[in-house]
Amino acid sequence: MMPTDSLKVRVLEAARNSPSPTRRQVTRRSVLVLVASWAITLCIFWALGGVRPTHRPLALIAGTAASALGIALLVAWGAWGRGRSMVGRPRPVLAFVIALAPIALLATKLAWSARFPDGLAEWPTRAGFKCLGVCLSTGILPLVAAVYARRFSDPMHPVLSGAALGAAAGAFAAFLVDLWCPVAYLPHLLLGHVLPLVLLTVVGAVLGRFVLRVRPAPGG
Amino acid sequence: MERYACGDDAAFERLYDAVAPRLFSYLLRQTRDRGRAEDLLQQTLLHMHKARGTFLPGAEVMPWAFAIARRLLVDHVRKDRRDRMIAAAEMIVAAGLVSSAGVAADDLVHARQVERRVQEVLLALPDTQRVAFELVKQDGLSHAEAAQVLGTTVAAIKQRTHRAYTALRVAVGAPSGREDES
Repeated sequence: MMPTDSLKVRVLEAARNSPSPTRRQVTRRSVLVLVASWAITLCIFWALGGVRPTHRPLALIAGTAASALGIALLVAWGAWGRGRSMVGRPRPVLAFVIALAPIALLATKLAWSARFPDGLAEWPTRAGFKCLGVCLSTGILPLVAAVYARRFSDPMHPVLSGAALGAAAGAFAAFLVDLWCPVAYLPHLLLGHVLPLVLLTVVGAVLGRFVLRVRPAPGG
Repeated sequence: MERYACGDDAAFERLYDAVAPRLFSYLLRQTRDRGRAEDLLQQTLLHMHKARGTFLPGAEVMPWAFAIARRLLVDHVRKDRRDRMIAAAEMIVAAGLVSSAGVAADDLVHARQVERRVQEVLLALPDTQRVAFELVKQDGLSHAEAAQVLGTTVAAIKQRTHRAYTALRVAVGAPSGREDES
């Protein structure tokens, strides 16, 4: 069964009348958007105080920060990469990436901090709301930029893909907050470091539902 | 597609010739409406045109094209709240179920009964099994391509098509045997 010749004429004409960006143009635009979002995010982070070693040993800062960065890079690779397939990563991989981010970040933070005296001590004056704010402030812009760069591109799992991008943005934000915050008390970590990551994952899922999903091209 | 993604506009016509017939066959079978199938095909191809810059070097085109078409189709069906219809007769021929059942070509009454029965069985199948069966048996996708379109593993596709095939065989009273032999 073949489509009519008139359809072919219509499709080719519609494509001619609405030029689309080439791979090079798309790549350039995506890099620009992502770099700009990260530049602004780093400015925000710096304005909020930037890196604050406080009384922490350098080994503790380096250990937790390196772990958080490694996890963030791994999650970003899983969320942003498509595994050489235009239909994206399979659902189980995306689900794994989403689950990995908060669990791995919390576990490594606790494990590193436990190796130092009073590393897990309670800080009564720091419930975690400031960290929550810093994490959301530094995570939202990269998430929006990533979703924008990938808009209308996911024909399979837009919600999961958006959630994975949210988890990646949240993981990078957690890395920045780790440089900022000396507290490793569990309730504080749950409220200030893990909750924002979960919130960003939810925001990513919502954005994915509306922005990442394939929809008919204008004029199509 | 690779040339088109890099900016060779003339390659779009070749892309159209390569993917449009298979996509149209799929969409027509799902909608049973030529006009609607052409509309969805146009939307699919224009989406591919718009998204050419995102095409990954070395990626396969057909799973992507089918995934887009399938997504647009699902949205279309949801929006209009219409049931999708299955062309059972084509499936009988494509899957070789008629000959396996020993139904004579001129026995129209029997053929219609079989067709109706197959249609009932197909509609009763879980969506996962039915869609996997259609993609592999009717649209000619490999198990790997169908797995990409449906976002699952090759083993799952083989299992789904096998179960669908078994259900259809039982429904038409065909003898059991290897799927590939029919």
